[in-house]
Parts: sequence; C-alpha cells; structure tokens
Amino acid sequence: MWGIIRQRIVSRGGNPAAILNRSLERIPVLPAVYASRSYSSAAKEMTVRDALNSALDEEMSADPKVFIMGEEVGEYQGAYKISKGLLDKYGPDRVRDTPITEAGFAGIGVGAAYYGLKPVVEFMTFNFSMQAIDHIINSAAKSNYMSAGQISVPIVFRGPNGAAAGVGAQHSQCYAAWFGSCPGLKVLAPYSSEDARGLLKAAIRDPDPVVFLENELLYGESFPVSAEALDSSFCLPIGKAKIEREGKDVTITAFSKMVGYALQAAEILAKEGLSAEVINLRSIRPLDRSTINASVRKTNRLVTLEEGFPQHGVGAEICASILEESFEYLDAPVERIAGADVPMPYAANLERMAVPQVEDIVRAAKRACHRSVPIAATA
Amino acid sequence: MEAAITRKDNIITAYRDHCLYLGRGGTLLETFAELMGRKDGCSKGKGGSMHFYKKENGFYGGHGIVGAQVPLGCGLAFAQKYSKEDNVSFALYGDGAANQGQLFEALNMAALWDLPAILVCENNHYGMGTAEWRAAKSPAYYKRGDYVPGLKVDGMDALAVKQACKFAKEHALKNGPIVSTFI
Repeated sequence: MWGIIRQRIVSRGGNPAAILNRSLERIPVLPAVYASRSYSSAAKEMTVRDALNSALDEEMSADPKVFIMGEEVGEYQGAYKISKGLLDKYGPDRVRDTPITEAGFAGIGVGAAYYGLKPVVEFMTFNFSMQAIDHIINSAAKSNYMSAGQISVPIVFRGPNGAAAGVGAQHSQCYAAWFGSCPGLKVLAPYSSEDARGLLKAAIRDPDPVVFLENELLYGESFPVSAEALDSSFCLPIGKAKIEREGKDVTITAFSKMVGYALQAAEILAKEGLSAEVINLRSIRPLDRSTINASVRKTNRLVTLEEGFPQHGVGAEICASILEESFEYLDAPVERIAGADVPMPYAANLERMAVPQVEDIVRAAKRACHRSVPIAATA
Repeated sequence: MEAAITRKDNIITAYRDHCLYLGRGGTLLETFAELMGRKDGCSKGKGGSMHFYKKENGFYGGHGIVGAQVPLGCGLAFAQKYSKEDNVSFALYGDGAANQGQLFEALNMAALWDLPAILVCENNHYGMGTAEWRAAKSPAYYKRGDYVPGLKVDGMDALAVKQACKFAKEHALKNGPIVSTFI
C-alpha cells in the first residue's frame, strides 16, 4: 500500500512529504492489515485476551442478535478486561451488566436464547456456574431434545476455568469433566490465541449451547496468529483436536493451560531421546476420539494430562476410549496425570504440588516408555 | 387468559402444561400421543408430560425444575424488549415455586431493566405435598414483589382472570414487571 503511494508521488511530482501526509489522513489505517502487508513473513502476536475481545467484537458486529451479559462486563470493561471497549461500541442494551445473581441471569440468558437471541453469558469464573448449573443443564442443554427440535438454544457460557494463582479451594476447580459428560452441551477449551478466536467465533455461531472454558493465567500470554486467523470469518471446527507437536514415542493429550506444560515437557523429553506427540484437545465435548486413537496407534503409549480432579475426569474418558478402540496397540498402561485429589490449598508450595508440573509430565512419559525414573519428586 | 392476549405474547410454565398447550393451539391427539410416549406426540414422545412446547404460538413449555421457568420467562420478556416488540411474556408458577430464590433474582433484573414480564402465581395452597402454611411465612404472594406492584385475582372467576391479564399486559408494556396471584 505504501509502495503504491510513493510511486504516485514520484510520477506526479510535488512535495512527497506533504502529499504523503494528505494521503495518510484519508486512508483509514487498519493495524492488522498494515502489519500483514509490511511484515509479510513475520506472524503477528496477539494475547489470548485480545483474541477473545476481537472475536466478541466481530461476532457482535456481524449479528445484531448477539449480546453479552454478566458481572462487570460493561462499565468495568470486563472483570479480566475481555469485554473491554464493547460497551462504548455497542451500548448498554447489548452489553449488560448484571447483579451478582448467576441463577437469575443464566436463566434470563437461556430464556432469551429460546426466543432466538444469541446471548454470551459470562461467569466471572466457572466456580460460580454451579449457582446456575440447573439452567445450563436442564434449561439449555436438554431443551432441544425434550422439545424434539422445536426449541434450540444458541447460547454461549464463557469464563475462566480451573486453577488461577493463590485463589483457594472455592475458586480453583476445573469443570471440564462435569460439563463434558452432559449430552446436549458442547464444551470447548482453547489454549492459544488462534484457538481462542476461532473457537469462540464458532461457539457464538453454533445453534446449540456451548460451554467455553478459558483460563485466567492464559489471558495475558501472547501467541503468534496467522493472517488467516485475523480474518473476521475465521472459525475453527468444533470437535477437532490439534496436534501441536508431532512425535513417535508417546502421545500426550492436554487442554487449556496444560498444553503449554506438555509442550515444555516434550522439549525436555526430546533431549533425552524421547519424541512426544502433543495433542491439544480444543474440544472436550465432542471429544476427538479419532485423532487421539490414531495417535496412540502410531506411538503405542499414552499420557493424559489435565488440571482437574482425577476421579471421573477427562483423562478417565480418554483412557476408556483407547481401551474400547485401540487396546491391542498399547505397549504400556495409560498414565493419567491430573490435579491432586484434594480441595486446592492456598499456600503457594502446596498449590504447586496440587497441580501437575512439567517434571510430573516428564516422569509419567518416561514411565510409559519404560525408562527408570526416581520415586516421586519433592516440591 | 387467552382471551386477553395474542399468540405473539409468550407463556411459559412449570409441569402443569397440558391445558396451556391446548390453549395455545395444541391438539388433543398430540397431547395424548405424547403422554403415551408415541412419535405423533408434540415432542415426538421424547419429552413426556412435563415437556410440551408450541414455539410458533408462543408457548415455551413445560419445565420440570420448580422455579426455573421464572428466569426463563423473564428472558423471553428480555428478548421481546431487545427486539423492540410490543408484546409480553407470562411466567406461571405455583405457590410452592414462589419461595424459590431464582424467582427473586429474575424479578430484580426484570424491574431493573423494565422487562415486559408478568409473573403469575397459581395458588392452590399446596407445594408438592406440603400445605402452604408450613412452607411460606407470607402467603400473600402478590405482595412478595416488594418494589414490583402486585395483583390479587380470583382465579376461579374466568372474567376476572381475563380482565387481570388485560390490565397486566398494559401495565407491563408501559411500566415493567408485575406479579399477580390467582387464588
């Protein structure tokens, strides 16, 4: 774009600086386009927070039926600033601050979805979704089936899920397994900014209720995003996992923040001669069983990784799926890494021990590959 | 009630939904087939007695969880106001459900946002098997709205019900939510 302007200035003569300035005033500068034209080889970096904000902005702009509802989403610009700027842009009718009444506003959101609107309901964390869980499950998830298709519920419930840092037992639970077991719901867990953008846009466009599990600690992390991901029609398919790193010795499945830990573990394992394949689940329900099974059939060893409680967790479901479909391909028992079976402690050293760390993943992968490992490490 | 409103107004209720379904244009065949679990039923046999719906005529069910229909009904009213339609939503519940917390959460938001929601308590003086005097400290449910005006109606007088619904609709469109009890 700038090259063309320079050419025009040279051919018509005149003071290049003055003409360039006038041209600049008339041309609206779109940062994303500018970046991708000027630096075509380098990828743009975007935080997960900005990815979510841009996804919400674009979907609200494209469809007037989309509105946001939740605590602090409007005037406070979002409890975690995810909805920053949206109140100014779309007004208080479409960006609704609610009182601290999850059961009430989740129900109102579902009722609005019955009528045909597309609410995006924010829970400040998914721990508070338990106040509203009756509406998520009984009013939203089951309605399409119970009404034989008459009532569809195009609602998205989003918010941070899982452990943050030092927030204690009541603010640290992971709800992926609970929501993942419920027919009628779609459950998504993005990791990178591209995941966040693509999956949130897909969730808002989806005609069924979607539970969108973000992670507070990922909001500030930056990831490279492709030019394709910046396009306003970009969408990721729901129900497809992504192979973040290819490998041949052991498969590690993870979602949300744990994907980052798994990638770090894979680097460490690579130095010891073990090639780990890291699968970013992206979608807890529907679970991409075919990708996971295909990977295990290639590597013959599996480590499942999650932050939540071990009993009845996502890893348990993945183990069952492998046993049902790829039992003969396993060369070792499945290693299941999960958070400790204890309410999240407050003290930082205890909290570190209650959540999987990179060393735990490396040890489990080695166990799955029959390498000798020292007994469980200390903090 | 039907005499005072149109099919563009919405009704939502709990599990005593059979007659409301018929009033909103459902047929007896669909009703009985659904109760028998047959595919000609209004929910193709998949919903059952508590889950009759007729969305095209503004009937949103049919809900098994006591009290859930009240926030849902306020949500329907929210959507009507958002879409700038001049219609109201009736959320019916029993005296047992009148004690549910989510009802007050929804009523607070309906009053804050001036939603065209009409909450109707069908008071038969029993909640499940428990008599009203053992369940509710204040059985004057139409007064429970506190900052929201309330209307007490003789539910056994059809013409009184019609007038009350007409009045409630006009009130809700102009001033926001109203609570009423049909005794």
